[in-house]
Amino acid sequence: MNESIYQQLRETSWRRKLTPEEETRLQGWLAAHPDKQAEWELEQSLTEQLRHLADAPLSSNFTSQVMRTLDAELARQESRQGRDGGRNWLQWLHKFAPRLAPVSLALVVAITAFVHYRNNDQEQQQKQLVDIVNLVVTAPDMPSPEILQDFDAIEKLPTDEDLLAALQ
Amino acid sequence: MLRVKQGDRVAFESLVEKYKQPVMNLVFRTLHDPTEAEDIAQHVFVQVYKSAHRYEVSAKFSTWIFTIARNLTLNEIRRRTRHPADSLDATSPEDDQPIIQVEDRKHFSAPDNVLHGELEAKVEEAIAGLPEKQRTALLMCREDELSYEDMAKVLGCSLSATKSLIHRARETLKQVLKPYLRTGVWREAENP
Repeated sequence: MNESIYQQLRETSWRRKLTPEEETRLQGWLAAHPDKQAEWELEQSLTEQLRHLADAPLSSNFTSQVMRTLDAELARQESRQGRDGGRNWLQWLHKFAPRLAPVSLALVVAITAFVHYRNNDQEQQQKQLVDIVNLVVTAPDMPSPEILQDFDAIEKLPTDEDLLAALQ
Repeated sequence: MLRVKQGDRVAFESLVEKYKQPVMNLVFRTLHDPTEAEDIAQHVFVQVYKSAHRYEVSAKFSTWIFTIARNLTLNEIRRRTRHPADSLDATSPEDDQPIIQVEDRKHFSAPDNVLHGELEAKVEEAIAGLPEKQRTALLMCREDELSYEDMAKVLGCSLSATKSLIHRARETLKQVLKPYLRTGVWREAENP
């Protein structure tokens, strides 16, 4: 038997008592390695102490308490589910609000800017229309359209001098 | 556990009966407060029932329940660190629960029992002084149902790391308890 088998038997002894065969092998190895005898005795003593550790204190009605706690927990869970049934969207909102907030803000700003621009644009158009109407209404009497009958011919003349010559 | 999964309360009660002491042993030796340990142990079983639908048949039940027990205990330790003045009792809504009835299992009347009790106290003290992982590994080592592989799963580490944790825990205990350990006899008692 070598050192590794000794280690293996040591690990086995942590979990359970060695079988007579394992015990014989171990004692044989210890006889050949007397320096390990004290270490093994200490090891065994500790194993015994750990094996006989007292159980932790436990109330005699532990199981019934568990069942009572479980019933209370299930009842609470059920009533919570009933109460929260109609508020699922609120939970959803609560969950996604931090992510939705910047997007919503950007959207609100964009809509406001667009509405403002459109209002401004409409206002300007109305103002221009009013100006044109005012101009038309307040303008002095317009000449009759006949005055423009030679407009095209006059327009085609290259210079003012030609126009003057034509008129003369 | 399959019956519990289907909502069988009788099967659940028998599971509680079977595992209450091993779970309590682990939780109590980590928290060192019997009342809080019992509260946590109760929550372990409530959690088992509530999470039964998530239990995979391929998993070993003892591994699963010890993992839940360890996680809830660690949560409680974290909670204590954040709110050192709070007690679990103060936050518990179960005010109408009956007073916990603890069985008195220890009777230290005879002198040898007194010595044994004192030695046991020394061992408990030494175990309490171990780091959490080493202590949990050492305590699970006492559970026949758990193999080294199961312990490794509960602790979330490799098989060799688990064995190493147990080895280190035992080495520490041997060092601390060396004056008291000698094939079960307490040296101090022999030579006061």
